Amino acid sequence: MASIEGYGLALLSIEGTQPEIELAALVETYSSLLFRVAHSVLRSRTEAEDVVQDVFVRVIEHRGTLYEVRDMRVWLIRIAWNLAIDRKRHILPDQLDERFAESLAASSESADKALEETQRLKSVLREMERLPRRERQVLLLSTVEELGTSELAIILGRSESAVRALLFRARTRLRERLQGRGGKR
Amino acid sequence: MKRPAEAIDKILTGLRNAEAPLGMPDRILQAVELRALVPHTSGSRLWNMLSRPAPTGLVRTWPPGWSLALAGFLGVSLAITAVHRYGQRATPQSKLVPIQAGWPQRASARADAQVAFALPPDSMAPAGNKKVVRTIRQTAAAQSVLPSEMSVPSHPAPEAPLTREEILLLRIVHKGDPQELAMLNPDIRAKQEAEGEAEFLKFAEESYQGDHE
Repeated sequence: MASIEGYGLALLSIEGTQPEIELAALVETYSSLLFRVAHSVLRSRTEAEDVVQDVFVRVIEHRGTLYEVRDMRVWLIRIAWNLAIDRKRHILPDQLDERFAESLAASSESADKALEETQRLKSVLREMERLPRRERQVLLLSTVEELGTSELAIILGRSESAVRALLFRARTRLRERLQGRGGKR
Repeated sequence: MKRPAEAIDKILTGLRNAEAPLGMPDRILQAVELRALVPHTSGSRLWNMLSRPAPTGLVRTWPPGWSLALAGFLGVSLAITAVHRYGQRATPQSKLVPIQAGWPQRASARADAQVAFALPPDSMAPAGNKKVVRTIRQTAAAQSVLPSEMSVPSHPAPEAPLTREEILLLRIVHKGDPQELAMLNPDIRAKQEAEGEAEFLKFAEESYQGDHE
């Protein structure tokens, strides 16, 4: 973790009555997690970093009411999640997906194979985007290792059993669709 | 597709293993600290569009020509703000026009009070007129900003040259002659003049009587 000394932005919720929340500590603790949450939606490192920055700008904007936040971790993840979804509406996802697929396929042996693999991964990403909204959200958020089923349920506003069912259905549907595409070819 | 489960796993693993870029916390803290210092006036969406580097072809609603124009506009406005602030800082505090910080607020509060006095309360207004009342209030509130802005000195007044009397006064004060300093008091001066006049009259009378004798 990079050094964050020299930054002492203390967020006073209510002067004198509430404990101080140190922004540097928040950034250090949660930035990686928030980055992965945003990256799961955007599949772009620069865009995800921008989202994390926006999250902490929101923290500054809400510093007066931070003491009301019960679970800071879930609150921050929710903000990151919503900002990432909002940002995705304003960008062209195909180009981001292409870069992400290229980065994953870069380890392939030859250029031909890498190109083929890129196309294959791109089609998976495309099918993921076509999944029903709830299933897609659960599938993407489940890639963030730090989040358990209970936290996923809180973030998405569903019960834990519903989250498990949605995750199972998302995987099954995605696999079936991809198999169907292969069969049609 | 061959082995779809493997491809899905590869994607999900790629997402799972995504690591934050090096130095991200530092950059975020710097950016957030900067945002905390600059007053937030425009919408966050506009800020996002301006602050982040727009990758070519990625942004749907951001033509490159607009980026250049906006960057130019932003640069000019920042330069004007910086020059203005530098000018204010470079001015010695003793030369600032002593208009108090509460002055504009008082002016605006007075304007608000006048508006509130002139307009009926919302509860008294009929339902159909509420929108009109609100519009008038908004307009009045916007207008009340003008006098407050006008009362704030944009530049400190230049120091006026001393008058001749002021220069003489300064000389007397700096010389420190107690007699001259005492003469600055109009009562003492009038008393001394009266005494001098009385002495002169007395002298004139005595010399007149002496001549006739």
